[in-house]
Amino acid sequence: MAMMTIAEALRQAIREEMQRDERVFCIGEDIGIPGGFGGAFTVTLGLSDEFGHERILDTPISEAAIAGIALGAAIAGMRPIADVQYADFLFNMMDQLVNEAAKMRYMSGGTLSVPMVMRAPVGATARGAQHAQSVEAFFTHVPGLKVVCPATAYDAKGLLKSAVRDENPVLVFEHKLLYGSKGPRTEKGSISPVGEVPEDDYTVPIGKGVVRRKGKDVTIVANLLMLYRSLAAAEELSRKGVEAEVIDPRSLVPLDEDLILESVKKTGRLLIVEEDNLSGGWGAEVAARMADSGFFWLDAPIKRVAAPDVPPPFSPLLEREYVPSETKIVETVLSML
Amino acid sequence: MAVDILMPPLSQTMDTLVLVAWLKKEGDRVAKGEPLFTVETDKATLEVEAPGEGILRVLASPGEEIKAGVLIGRLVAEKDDTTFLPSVGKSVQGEEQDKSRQAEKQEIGLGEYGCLEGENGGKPPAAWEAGREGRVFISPRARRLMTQEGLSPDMLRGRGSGPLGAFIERDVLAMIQRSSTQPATKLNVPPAEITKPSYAQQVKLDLSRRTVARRMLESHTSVPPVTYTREVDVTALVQLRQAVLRRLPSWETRLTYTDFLIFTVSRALVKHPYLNATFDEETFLQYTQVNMALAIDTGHELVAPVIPGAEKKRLAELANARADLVERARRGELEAHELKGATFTLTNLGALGIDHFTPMITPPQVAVLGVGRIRQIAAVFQGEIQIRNVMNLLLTCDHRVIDGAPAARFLDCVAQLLESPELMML
Repeated sequence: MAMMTIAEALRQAIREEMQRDERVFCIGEDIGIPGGFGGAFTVTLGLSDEFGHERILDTPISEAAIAGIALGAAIAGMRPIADVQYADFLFNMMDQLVNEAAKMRYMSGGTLSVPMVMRAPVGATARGAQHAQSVEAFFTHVPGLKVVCPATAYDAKGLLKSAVRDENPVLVFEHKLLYGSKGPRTEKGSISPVGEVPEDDYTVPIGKGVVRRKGKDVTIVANLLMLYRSLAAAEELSRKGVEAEVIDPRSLVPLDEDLILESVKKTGRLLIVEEDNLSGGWGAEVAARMADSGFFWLDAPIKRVAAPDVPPPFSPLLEREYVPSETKIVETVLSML
Repeated sequence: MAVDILMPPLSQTMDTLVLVAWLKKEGDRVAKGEPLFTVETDKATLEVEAPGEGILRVLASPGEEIKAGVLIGRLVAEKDDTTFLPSVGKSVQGEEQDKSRQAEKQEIGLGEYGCLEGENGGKPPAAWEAGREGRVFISPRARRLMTQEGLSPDMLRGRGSGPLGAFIERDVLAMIQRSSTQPATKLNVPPAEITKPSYAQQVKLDLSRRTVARRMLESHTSVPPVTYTREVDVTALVQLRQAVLRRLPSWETRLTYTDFLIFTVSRALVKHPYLNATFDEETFLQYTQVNMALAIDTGHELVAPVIPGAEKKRLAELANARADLVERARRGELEAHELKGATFTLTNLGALGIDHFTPMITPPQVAVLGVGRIRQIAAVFQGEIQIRNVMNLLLTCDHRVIDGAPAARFLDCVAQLLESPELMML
């Protein structure tokens, strides 16, 4: 088995899917230009040499065009993987994604399907308010879209493959600090989880979460970078005698509600950690569902640790305060005991 | 900027203190240094002054047992200050890093939930406290367990151990365990045949009694004690004391045997510092200064205030110090610091007619000297049978650090001084 970064695992998934199915192609800004980075974070680096510029398609700076082309191609039977340089730019595509892609299958009575993938990097990384948002919740709100967020190299490859093969539009949210991108795209402060990635063809099912750390005292549900902060917080809590169970939901839509509920039944306490703003984040949905199905198992109020309801600040000092920290997670858990 | 009001660390021995009363009301303007609230430690009730000025925001209710260092209220600048109030019981002590982070947080005005203050900010759990008087909070999980076990929520009173004082699973589990350890449930006897003994009154233990209970059990279970008994002939001492009293009949403080004992024992401890010591399972500290704790029965409780530096004090100074402590102990006016820092304890039950008992060590001290009644016996003295005054010395030592021979040597030293009080002048 090869050791890979998430960027490498995504690239491998794209490569294998493009080899497996010639309908699969990539579209985005600067994803295949000679001498480029291979997209903003090196995921498609070298693929235009392997597959040519007809399947690694560079576009002008027009997110609406990328979404429109991908949508049309998907309806026509292709399998587009669209690269969105920053997830913030998805807002330029909202009409295509929300009004068209998400509704097409429903409105056509199932005669049309939209098997498109949008890959979009999230997370605050000293780039200011318009290149730093964690926007998952905008899309978890829309029926007809699937939302996944791989936090390990293994899941990155397996989930992207599942997304390509899914008959519905899937948004794949990746975290800038987890790519492990190298060279000029090395991210300051990144933690690059390098992991074993099988070379054979495998998929990770969309809609299945995973327990990353077992514990009995509190359940922490956290995605992407927050997963790693929560795991670090869990170690700190363990030194204080508190054993946290940490769940990586991997998919936000569909959500693996059973997995979370089983854990809450055991621990009686639920904390959700997300990098999105507090109000209306996906964590609010998890909290609401657990207040519903898990109420009689709860031993403490459900808590959330999230970014405050302000835009991501540009100042590194403020950004550090904005993004939920290990300390904040530990403090919040202790307040629940 | 708001000023935090923390439960002060007034007790050396207790983790928690009881908030007795707020001396100011919620919303009152308070000046720095004004008496703000009273707390009950294991030994005394004390007034605490306001650490700053501002409008009082109350976070903890009278009667609560609260850990030292925990936030119990705030003094805020303005009456409508919406500065967030964290839930009661959240310790604001912590690592330096945490503190600096909190400072950082306040500087940029972010509330506990990371929201900007005044905006969505805070969602203060303190708001949940308002109007909860008499309401019992039970977590859904705890309630579920109670239903399962056939327990009624009516059985719960006051506050549980969970967030916001809610009763949570562990409280109910503890309840179940308590009820299952009652032997009556295991006896196969029809309930009608069990006659409950009637009782005169149900005594609710106050904090100081509970402290004594806890510390006595701690002493009993954690210290291997050995008690050494020695009878001493105090005929000469009795005569000496009577001579002093005759000469100075109107002296301000009437000299007691206890005063002679404090005097004698503190001198002996200087020569045998291994008994003037503390031991915490790792560190065995022997002190040069003798801080003599004196067990005093106040009529309703036992306290052990300290005479610091007893080894340097003259007999008259010791007598004055002893008389002052006894008087104030009976009036309940001892201050917290007077109950701390003991290196050795003296307990005299002679006046109550006791000849022999086994005194209990107060950890981390390693020894305690008990004293019995002075009584007259027919004894062989210098080859003749005479009427002599004798008294028992009862020394209990922690055998982990004090062996029999050193204990006996110390006791011998005390005995020599008491039997030949002229040696005290040396």
